[in-house]
Amino acid sequence: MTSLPNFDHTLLGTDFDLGRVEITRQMLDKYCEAVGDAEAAATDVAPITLPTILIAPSEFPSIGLKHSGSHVLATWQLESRQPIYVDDTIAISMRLEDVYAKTGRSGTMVFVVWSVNFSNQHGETVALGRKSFITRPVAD
Amino acid sequence: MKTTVHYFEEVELGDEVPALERRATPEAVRLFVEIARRKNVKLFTESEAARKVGSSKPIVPGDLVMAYIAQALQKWAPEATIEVLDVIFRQPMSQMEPLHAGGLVTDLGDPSDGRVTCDVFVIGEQGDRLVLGTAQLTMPSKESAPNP
Repeated sequence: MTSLPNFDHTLLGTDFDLGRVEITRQMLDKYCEAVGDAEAAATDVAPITLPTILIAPSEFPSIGLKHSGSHVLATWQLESRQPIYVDDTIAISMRLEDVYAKTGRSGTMVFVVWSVNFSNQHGETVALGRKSFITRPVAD
Repeated sequence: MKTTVHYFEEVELGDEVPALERRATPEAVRLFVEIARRKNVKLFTESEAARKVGSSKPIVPGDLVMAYIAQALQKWAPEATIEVLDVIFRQPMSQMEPLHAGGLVTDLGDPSDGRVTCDVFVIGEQGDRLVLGTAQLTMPSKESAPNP
């Protein structure tokens, strides 16, 4: 069973510019230390998953969703188009693709789906992403 | 099971990507949320907040666990390029829980494109598949390898 979530529907399909992030040696080293990837730390090429940290959750545009509950990551699809190197500057833009609800045994869950484009300082797309979050009833 | 493959021709349908065991320590998670510029970090630092999403301990960011899958693939096929990683986070993962990231080859292209498709997963200590998904890699062919 599904129901229509209450949010700002005018934002569907809207592109949001999230600014630029410089890929520094220090950032790559810290990332590799956190994920335990010593091999990637020895190169100037970022692992395919580095873009996952380039968007701070606080930078996600508000969509005015009226649905309470816990908010967690549901899916991540990352497509690498070109390597990302140390000293690259990555521009990030996002688009609100979909917002939908599903009702299950634990109540109504709302899914918010974003597409993300990562491009480098030469204007080349280096990665594409599709990321969704779920807001679901708080566990007992 | 081949622990490492270097060329497309070495890969067969049904080959396993050896499981890589990782335990996300609180220190690693703290570092991860710092570089990911997370502001609301209670889920990752407080048990009470984690209980609201069904975990008795602070949880591990899904983005971090995604890196474990990429590492398992890259350890198995060091010369491969991971083109696509597509995952579904099915359950929260607790810090210090042994997580096993691995995969299984489900489709192969041909030597000219070097395409290898894998199911990927992360298994928790109870044997549950906590993360599921697919990955697409490209691997070099022996035919295109330089002669020694």
